[in-house]
Amino acid sequence: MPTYDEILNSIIVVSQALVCLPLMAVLLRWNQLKGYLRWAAAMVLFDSAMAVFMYYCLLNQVHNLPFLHLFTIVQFVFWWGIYRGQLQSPLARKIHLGSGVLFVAVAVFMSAFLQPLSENPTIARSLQSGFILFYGIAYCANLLQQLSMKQPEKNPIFWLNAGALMYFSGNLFLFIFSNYLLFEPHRVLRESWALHAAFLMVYYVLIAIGIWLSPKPSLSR
Amino acid sequence: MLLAGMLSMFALAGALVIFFLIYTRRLTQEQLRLKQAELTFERKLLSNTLATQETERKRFARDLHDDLGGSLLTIMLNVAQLEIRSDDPEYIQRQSAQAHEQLNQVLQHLRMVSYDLVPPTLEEFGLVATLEDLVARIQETELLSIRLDRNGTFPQLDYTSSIAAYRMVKELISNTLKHAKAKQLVIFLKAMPEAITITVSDDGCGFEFDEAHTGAGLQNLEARSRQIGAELEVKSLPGKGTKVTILLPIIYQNHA
Repeated sequence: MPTYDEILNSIIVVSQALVCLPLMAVLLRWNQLKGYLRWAAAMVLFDSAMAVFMYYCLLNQVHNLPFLHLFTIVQFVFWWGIYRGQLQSPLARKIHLGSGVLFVAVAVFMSAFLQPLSENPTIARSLQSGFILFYGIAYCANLLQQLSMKQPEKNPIFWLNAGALMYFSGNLFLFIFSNYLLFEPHRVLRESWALHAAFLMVYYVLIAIGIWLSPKPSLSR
Repeated sequence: MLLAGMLSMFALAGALVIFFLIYTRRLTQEQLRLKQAELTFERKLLSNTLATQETERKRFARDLHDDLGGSLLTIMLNVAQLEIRSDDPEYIQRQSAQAHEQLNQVLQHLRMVSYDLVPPTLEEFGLVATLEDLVARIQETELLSIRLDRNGTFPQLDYTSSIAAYRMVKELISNTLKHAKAKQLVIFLKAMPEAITITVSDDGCGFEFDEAHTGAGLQNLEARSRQIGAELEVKSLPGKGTKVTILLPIIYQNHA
């Protein structure tokens, strides 16, 4: 019978492996992926590579925090690319463009001066979650205004957006308060990361559904 | 506390996604329902238009067959008699006078049928003159007291709007004569910078608007008003008469 800590550890370790779901979707639907789905595919490939690398670090006891700084920036850029063509309002588009530049600049500055590579980039991760949540909510608002989507559940962006909203909303809370976690008992820390891992699993499943629903090439002109 | 916060945020995002999904689905269903209702209405209109066309054709065929055909047959028989009794000058004179009179009647009837189809004054003198002519013709019949009042200077409208408006007024007069048991009917024309209003009101028995709304007569009026981009307003109550207002946007005749 596994102990509570073992269960938590298993969730944390297994969650990364679930990236194979969107990865399989990307490989099977590769020829159908166009536009923003290419950004999503690139993100899944990058996440998969990072997951493999994380497992390697775990097995070989290698310090992986410096790569988390890079991961935060690159993952944000992919999400930025996914939402690029989705926001129609001029204000949202301007904020989208500005926030992309701002985030990369702030994240690099943070890594260089405030939270060095040996630390968890919690500020950058919080900012990343905040911006991606803004894109997701702006996209929903835009869609409600336009009323253009007839069956959202058949549209890939709906599932990608759902994944982003659910994962990064949990992430935002976790990273904003993660500095306080250091003063909490070890179990709380494990439980928080296990919960984060559970969110990550939901995220990967939703991303996989989104990519799987990529539209098939039409034969009609 | 942290775990509860994370879970709350996650649940909130999930709720947002589910709300969005349900909302868009309901919206789509509502749009579909509206579209279907519109389609049903359009089909009904089309069916009424076709039925009206068919009725008009039947009436036209009946007019030609019963009246004109009958008169021409009588003339043909009379002419045949002339050949047989060619040696009787008195008979020939009487019969030719009778044939002349019958041909005159046929010609008049032909003019009426032709006028009924497309009034010749419409293209040349416009809607107002044609309506005045129509009112004068009905006044001659003394079926009811009919009056046409006008206010303003009326521009020459395009032919499509004019013929549609003419037919609508004719339909309204016909409805009054058939169903309203009215003593008086007033047509009021008012010219405005961008539109013309045509108000047809009678002092007849009126009707319950909702019941009659599905009737072919009013649907034809609606179809015609849609066709020319006019607005139609029908006011009626049992025992209180009927007032129909047509707001006709002015589309000037293209002389190019």
